[in-house]
Amino acid sequence: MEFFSASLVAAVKLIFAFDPEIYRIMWTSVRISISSALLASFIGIPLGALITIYEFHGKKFLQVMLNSLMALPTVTIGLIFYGLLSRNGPMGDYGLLYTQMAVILGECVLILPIVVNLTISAIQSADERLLPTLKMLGASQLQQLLLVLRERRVAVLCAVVTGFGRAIGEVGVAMMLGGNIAGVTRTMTTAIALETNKGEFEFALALGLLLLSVAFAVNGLLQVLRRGHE
Amino acid sequence: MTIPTIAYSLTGIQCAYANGPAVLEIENLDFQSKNITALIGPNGAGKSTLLSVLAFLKAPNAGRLQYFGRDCSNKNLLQLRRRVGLVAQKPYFLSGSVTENVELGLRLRGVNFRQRRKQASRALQQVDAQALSDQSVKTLSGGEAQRIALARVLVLQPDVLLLDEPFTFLDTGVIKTLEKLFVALVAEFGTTIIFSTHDRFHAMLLADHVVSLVNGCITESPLINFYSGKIVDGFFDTGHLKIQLPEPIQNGSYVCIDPNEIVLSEQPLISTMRNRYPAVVTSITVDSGNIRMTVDGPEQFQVLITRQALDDFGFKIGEEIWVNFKSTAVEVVGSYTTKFD
Repeated sequence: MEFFSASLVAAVKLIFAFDPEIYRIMWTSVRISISSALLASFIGIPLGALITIYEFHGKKFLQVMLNSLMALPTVTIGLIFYGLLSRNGPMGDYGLLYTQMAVILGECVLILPIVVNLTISAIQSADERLLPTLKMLGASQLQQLLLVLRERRVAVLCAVVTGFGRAIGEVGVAMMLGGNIAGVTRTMTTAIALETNKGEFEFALALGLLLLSVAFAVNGLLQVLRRGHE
Repeated sequence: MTIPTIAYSLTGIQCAYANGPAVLEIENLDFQSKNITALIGPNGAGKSTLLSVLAFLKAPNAGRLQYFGRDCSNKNLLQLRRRVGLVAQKPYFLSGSVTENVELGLRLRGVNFRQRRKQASRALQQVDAQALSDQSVKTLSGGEAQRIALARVLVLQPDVLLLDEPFTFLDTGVIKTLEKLFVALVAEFGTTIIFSTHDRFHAMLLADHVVSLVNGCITESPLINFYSGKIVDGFFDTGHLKIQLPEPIQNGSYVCIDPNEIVLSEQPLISTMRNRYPAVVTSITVDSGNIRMTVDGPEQFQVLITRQALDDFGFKIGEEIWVNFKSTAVEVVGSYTTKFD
């Protein structure tokens, strides 16, 4: 217990000493996670809205698939993308492996099913009169899509934030595609794993505390937005 | 080019939800343009479904729907929807102010801000709701919401105005204002108005035509004094009274009695009228020169009499009287399952 409390005090001291290495790692993590969440939202939100609004063959099967993909192991995505991006892979010529872009792409695929599914839930939980009202007022299909998303913006934002939370907390994709290169692809989670292995428990704990703070801050912001909407 | 006088022409229309039974089955029905048509019928009769079909929100499962002489298809759906306006029974508003909601349809049509504000203000004035313009839609009462929903459609100046139970939450004063507005819309702009209502007398007084719906089918009956029950030994048993039928009919779950065929008297009439029940006068109202009396007996009856008859007999509220009618005044509306009791 003494070891843990001493490490905790040292970790807090590191945070408030504004250790540049810690904050560089945090910034890298946040930047990669925001980028992947934005990319996944750019694809996933319209996709979720389209799946909800339109009826087509195989819709149920697609939804079952999306649900299953939410539980996709991060190392599996890491493995697949490693195969695609490695020098001998079909996308090897782009030289993306061990870059931030590789991690962003991998995490985007990881969180895409989450964003799509939660967007579908957000729209499905809208008042059943919303869509007929928009149709009745003469909204085109694109206008319907945009207005439904506008009406459900807080719930859709929840989908994005949940995706961000999943991205910032994952380690498999970041480790396999980023390579944990200091100052380039070292994220909070990969750094925590590395520093713990090295025996730098205080440093790892400081990063862990910052990771928690980021998660709390994002969720706090979401609550404020939700309350403002009500 | 002359504008067709038929707004809608329905032939062999069938509608069902999911894999359920048909909720609407109409062989032939035309709606005259520049007219007010009322749809009447009990809950579940198919009024709202029919309005959804006419608003191009629900595609029929079978049949042909023509709008001003042109066949309707999925290809011209947006153009068709933009020519009609539906005011739902429980309207939905998007988050924002009353004005933002009233303007929405214009915004979707690309009308500029200044023009939108001007037209929205005029529409709010038409429904006597200018005072609500800056209010959030979340704070509207049922009656206010109904009026704002109407303004939201009126602002689009539709060729056809469809209203689902428009008078449900409104007080008498507002109802009168809206009735005048509907008549003016028909007279000035040639708008076709189709509305659904439970109040059959109201329908008969306001509308040029009345369409009665029972269990998704058109019926000739005006559906006044409309009772559900079952036929037992030549009588229709509502559970509260037994009505003598004109002929031996085996099946039938609904009957209605023409309000003009009911005779009120101080004593039971000894005549060919085989249906006689004691009742109490509960209301006497004047509707377009006719006297409409409501009398409560084993069932509630609506009766239409002339002013002369009222003066002669001097009926008063609370007075005990007799309700008399011939069995020929009773119409068995149809043999239906009791799905909307």
